[in-house]
Amino acid sequence: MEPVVRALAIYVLLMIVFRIAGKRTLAQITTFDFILLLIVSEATQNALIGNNYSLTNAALVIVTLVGTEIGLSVLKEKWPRLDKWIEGLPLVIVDHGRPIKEHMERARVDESDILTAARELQGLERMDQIKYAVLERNGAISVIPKSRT
Amino acid sequence: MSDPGKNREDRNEGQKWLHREGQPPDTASEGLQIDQDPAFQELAWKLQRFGWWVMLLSVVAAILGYLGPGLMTDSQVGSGSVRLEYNRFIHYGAVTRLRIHLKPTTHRKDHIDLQLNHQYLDRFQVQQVTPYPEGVRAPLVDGVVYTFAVGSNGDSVVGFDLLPLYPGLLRGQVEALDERVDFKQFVLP
Repeated sequence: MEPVVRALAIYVLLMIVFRIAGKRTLAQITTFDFILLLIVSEATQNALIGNNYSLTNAALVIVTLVGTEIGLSVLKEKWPRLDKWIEGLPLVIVDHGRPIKEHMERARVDESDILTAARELQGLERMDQIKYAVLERNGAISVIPKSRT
Repeated sequence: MSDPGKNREDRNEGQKWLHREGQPPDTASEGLQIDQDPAFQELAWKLQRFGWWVMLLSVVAAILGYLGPGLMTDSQVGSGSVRLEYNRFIHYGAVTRLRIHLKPTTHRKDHIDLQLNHQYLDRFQVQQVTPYPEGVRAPLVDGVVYTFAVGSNGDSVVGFDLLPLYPGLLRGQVEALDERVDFKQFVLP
């Protein structure tokens, strides 16, 4: 029973912590974010496995984690409200070239993040060339350019 | 079997978010087919800020020692002949040290018998006892009795390195030199 409890506890803990931390926390994988991710995985490893190095324990932890993931995806499909709570909603941060400051502040996105995404994804040069920019549920910024007519 | 009617209801609910019927748009993003729910978003942000405070408080609590050994919770109990140093909050699976200062007040002894209650010891694996006891016996009554030689100045400091085997509240009793000291420890999971 213990491996199952451990895996569930870690799953829920990580889900809550990263939901609280916000979409942007590990969305742009900078070198340091990557290191942070490795450290987090290292820190959770001991709590997941404990002192039990058996194959059975590892298998139980893996099956519990993957099973929980599958179970949650089924439940999210069934109850969109749960999906909304766990994954959040996309957020419009630029509307017809006009940055929506309040949304950007709350989501910790600045104009340079949006312009970076606009350059990388669409080859845009200025904010006024953006029709919409959306902070997606996975923390990435998607950019829709104004039509060049 | 999933209920198709229920699913349709959920989808309709989803559609409501898309169009936000009857609500003035907070942005002019009506051309974008996107789930938006300003009220939910506001609530999520509030909870997020609350969560940040919880995380900050848990770090402060950890530094102070309310989530494990820390600055404020290294405790001492007892006075006179028997004094205990211990951590009030310890972690499951992490070794903790119990230090017991023994100081015979009445008359000098060559050996001191120290008893730890079974109820407490059963929850730990005793990793090491320093100094090495001259004898250990477990009378059927209350606990395990360790016998230690007394130092040249008549005092003795005994250390138990203990590995907690179960989470939860523990009540310990140390008896030595005709004194009994009670203490509590909480093992965090």
